[in-house]
Amino acid sequence: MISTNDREIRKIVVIDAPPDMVFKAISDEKELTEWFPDLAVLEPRIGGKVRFTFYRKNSENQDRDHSPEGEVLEFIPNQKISYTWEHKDVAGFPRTIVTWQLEHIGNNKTRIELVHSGFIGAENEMYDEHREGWNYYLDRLVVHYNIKM
Amino acid sequence: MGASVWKALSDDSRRHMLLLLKDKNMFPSELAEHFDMTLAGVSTHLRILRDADLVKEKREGQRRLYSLNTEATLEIKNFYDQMWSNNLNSLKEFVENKKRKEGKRK
Repeated sequence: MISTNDREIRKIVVIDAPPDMVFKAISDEKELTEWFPDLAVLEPRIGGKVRFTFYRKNSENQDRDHSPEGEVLEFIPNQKISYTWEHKDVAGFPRTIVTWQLEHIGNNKTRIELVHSGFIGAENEMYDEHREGWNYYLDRLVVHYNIKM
Repeated sequence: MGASVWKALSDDSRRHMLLLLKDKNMFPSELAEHFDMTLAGVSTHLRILRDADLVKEKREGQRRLYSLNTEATLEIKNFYDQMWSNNLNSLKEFVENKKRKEGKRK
């Protein structure tokens, strides 16, 4: 598994199963909860709603439930799915994108390439230059949590 | 580790400390002036922030100077990097187990 630059996570994993089985596991609401969130909403069409809920009790690193949500951008059965991934409860969280690309590499094996992109980095043109990364987050957090200065 | 960043950001005092450090590097005693808590209490919060890589610590003689880690947004990304690594392993395990079970039924 490898990860690349500041703004993008890229991982590759080979699974000993055919693409249709893998695709079902990453797109079916019930199967998703077998290995990923506690609750999953994933409408299997472009523009469909996505919402994953991770309960706090399942992670000692979380002190509240997490519910990233977004919409389906691409949905090609057994090949590719991508959706936006945002945290509405963390104001200012960037509109990141999760993309799963499946490739049948024979022998009933599937190669998965997972890319999670759109993290704020120094070169992210979505934001004003002076509002680079951390300051942007911090200011949003202040607004979000109403910190009185 | 990246995952602790959420925990670090969950507390009002710690977020306030980050804001203060955003303007100026400070010693714990200076930070303590802004809070109704003991120096030990401030140090505990700073340790949590440091462990989450949100602040950096630098020794100056007997004292430790704290500054904001301006690369902290990377921590959000690190959090996900770790999360995907863990979950891809879970995915692999889930699908391969399922395939094995189905194979046995045939």
